[in-house]
Amino acid sequence: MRTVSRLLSQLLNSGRRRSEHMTRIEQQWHDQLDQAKLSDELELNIERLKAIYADCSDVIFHEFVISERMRAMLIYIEGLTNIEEVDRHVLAPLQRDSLQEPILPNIRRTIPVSSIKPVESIRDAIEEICTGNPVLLMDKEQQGLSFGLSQWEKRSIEEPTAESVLKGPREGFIESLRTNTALLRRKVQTPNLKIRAIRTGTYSRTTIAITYIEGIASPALVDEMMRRLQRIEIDGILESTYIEELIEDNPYSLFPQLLSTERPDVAASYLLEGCIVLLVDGSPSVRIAPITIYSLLQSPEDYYERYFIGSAIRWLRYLFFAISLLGPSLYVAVLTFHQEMIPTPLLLTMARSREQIPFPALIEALLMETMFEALREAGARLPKQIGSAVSIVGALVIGQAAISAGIVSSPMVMVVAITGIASFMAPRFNVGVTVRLLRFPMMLLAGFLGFLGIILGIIVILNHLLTLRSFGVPYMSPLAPMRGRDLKDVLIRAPRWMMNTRPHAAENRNLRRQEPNIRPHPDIENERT
Amino acid sequence: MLKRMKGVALLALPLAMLILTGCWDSIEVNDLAIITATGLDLTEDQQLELSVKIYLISPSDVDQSGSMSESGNNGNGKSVIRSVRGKSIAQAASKLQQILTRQVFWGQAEVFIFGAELAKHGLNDVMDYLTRQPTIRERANVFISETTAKEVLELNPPIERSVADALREMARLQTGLDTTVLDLAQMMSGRSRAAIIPTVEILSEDDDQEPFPQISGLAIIKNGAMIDQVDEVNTTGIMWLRNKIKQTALTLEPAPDQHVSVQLLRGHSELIPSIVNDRWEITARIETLAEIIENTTDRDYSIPDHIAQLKTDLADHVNQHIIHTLELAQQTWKVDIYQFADVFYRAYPKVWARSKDRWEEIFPEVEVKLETNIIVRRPGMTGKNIFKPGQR
Repeated sequence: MRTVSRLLSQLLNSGRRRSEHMTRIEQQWHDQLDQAKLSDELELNIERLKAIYADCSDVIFHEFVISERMRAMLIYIEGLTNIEEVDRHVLAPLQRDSLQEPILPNIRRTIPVSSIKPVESIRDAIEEICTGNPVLLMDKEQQGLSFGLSQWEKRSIEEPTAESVLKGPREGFIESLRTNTALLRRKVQTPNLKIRAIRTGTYSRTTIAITYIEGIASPALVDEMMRRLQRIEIDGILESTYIEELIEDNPYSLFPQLLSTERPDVAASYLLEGCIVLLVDGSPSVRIAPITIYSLLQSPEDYYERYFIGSAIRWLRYLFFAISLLGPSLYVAVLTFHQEMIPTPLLLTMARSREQIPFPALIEALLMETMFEALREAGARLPKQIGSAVSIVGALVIGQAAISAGIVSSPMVMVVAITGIASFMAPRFNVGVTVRLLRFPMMLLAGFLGFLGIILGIIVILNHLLTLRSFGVPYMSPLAPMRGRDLKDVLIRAPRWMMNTRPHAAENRNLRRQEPNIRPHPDIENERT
Repeated sequence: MLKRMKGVALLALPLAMLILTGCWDSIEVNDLAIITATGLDLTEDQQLELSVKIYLISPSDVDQSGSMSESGNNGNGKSVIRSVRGKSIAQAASKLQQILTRQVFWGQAEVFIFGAELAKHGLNDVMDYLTRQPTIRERANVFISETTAKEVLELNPPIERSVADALREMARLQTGLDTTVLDLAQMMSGRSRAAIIPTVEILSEDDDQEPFPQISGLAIIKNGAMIDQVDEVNTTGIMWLRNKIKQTALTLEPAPDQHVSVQLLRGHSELIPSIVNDRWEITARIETLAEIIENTTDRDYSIPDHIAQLKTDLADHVNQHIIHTLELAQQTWKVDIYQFADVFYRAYPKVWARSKDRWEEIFPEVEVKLETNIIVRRPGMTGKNIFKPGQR
């Protein structure tokens, strides 16, 4: 025990040391840059920048003369900048000798580029260069200019493969932040859609966009989100999960407290409910907060189908959510503790199929579930062509052969298969994973204590869910605490004309979503006349 | 540090709780001797013989080819019978465990058959065991066999999976004969201390027909012991008053060789007690829907007047049945198989409390008024008998 705790403390301390180290580097970096205002000597500025970009072969320093009088330097990163545009709209007008007087305002007027920003310091210059905007530095000027001519290779907008729908828009977020914000802006065109940005990551300098609709999202929530984001001190952010792990309410919980989606329509619908959408540059999956557990069990198609179908499918999903959590553990419990609960013919069939199985039911279940998880993981990691081969081998060879070889019984294979399918029914992949993980302790509980164990497990899970919060919103709401008004989108998918109020996250601000009484009906008065 | 230790303890404690208990009480299906039917007999030397039918899961039956093809040889012939004797059922049951390699499992025992000898001797002691044991199904069916119970267990009816299944299905189809352990316990310990249990007889071997169990009637239990048996006709008579009317057919014969039959669709009977001047009286209100299924008489029953006549005839017919068995119960057996006692208790609890000790004297004197109403709903698919033009 003592060694364990010593190890733990060592680990923690080393982590602390590393973070101190990191902040020191960052501090130095910032100090150095802040001190460095641009000087009016071009040579000096270039020297500094060249020192900073030493050994960076992709950074291009292009020296030229403006109107044959003024020496200038254009700095950009190859591949991040649209060189054609730079040549045509920056270099060409400047190198012509038509300029009367080569001073900054004139230069600025000459260049036909819509986005020109002044650059005051070395730090500004670096930020601009990094994002791909070419920076122009001139002799005898204390200001440089940056041009919004960044362009780099990016994926085209495609349907997200992890969240495909039959009906509904087929566009998905991509890796480029600006494209993503544009996608959102196209869905929600009000100027109240606010997109705040902060940059984090000592080395990655990743932009995070905090998106919300002013007037719907609670300002306290936005403040809280900003506070949590500003607290982040990390070397790099490569995916939005980095952020998620650093800002969630309970970092030890198995349940995701932020929703991740690649669909702009889903993100927009949450914006309209008063949630905040976090977009991280370089990641096609955006994060939404706050959410409840029911958000994880909803699919966009619930809303794109008519409400009868939406409600029915929602209930089917709830049912299979329970099955995916409890399927194998119920089977194990019934088979080892409560044999009297099975109808006699079924028990006899099960007993017959289990007669030659060398393992107890618990071991059998653990074996098969582990096997299933391994197959799933292998299938997910392999290239598509080989992936299908794995699934065939998994289903046919392993399943069928294991039964004939007498290692597992056929009812067990069926239970595992149904549970597997049930876990894939969760519309959000990460909640499916959570349930699949929880299945194992549940199986152990069932194997050791039977139904008593299962009930204990359920109580523990429910207890956890009831204490969990996502940005202050109770995870189980609106069922616990009960908010009857919001149940219309949880127990059923109410028809559009009944969804008059916004749910939980709006915190009673701007609650009305639409005119009441918009249910379509025949216009009796007009018909009479 | 302390906090961390606490965390470790919090994690370790539930884990220890789980693992240290081990698999408490757990038992694999394959370590069970699954009893499907149980028989109890009284031997000549006054010992109790407990016979159980154990489902045999022989490894050779396990389907080797996987789950898809179900081999055709499942069905019967897969059970064995084991018998043990003891002074009491508990003793016999513990002996049973000694001769079995797997743990005795009562949870799936669906049928209990008592031999006639045991039933005559008394079922109270056996029922005490059956109701006290938590593992025994309260919803298991009980039967009394006219032969020994073991002989019934040895049968292998061809259609159903086992004799237990066959008996259960037969009892269920003949509504009202479905008596479970719970029903029996309630009847035997109830105010009337009388019970009825379906009896089973074995139809002997025919040319190509194997011996075969069949429900033959009812056993009348008074104070825990069987005092008489009734045949099927009297069984119906009893069921009319117990609100357990079968979906059966009634046939009248208004003229020689002319029949009219009705199929009873659904019915309801109600017992209304009254005590006036110490005259105990029961009014039985019986209402049944029926439809004509056969008509070879000269009458056309699509004419309403004829239907009215048929109604009274049918009621008379039913009343005769009821009165016949009622006389048996009141005069011959003096046993309250209709549970009038409960009916009186519910309506007159104070009077009942005063006179419950005299119930055996009162019961034969209870006057039963019958208000039978059989409503003939439909003359069947054809109205007039189309093969008999003379009908009018």
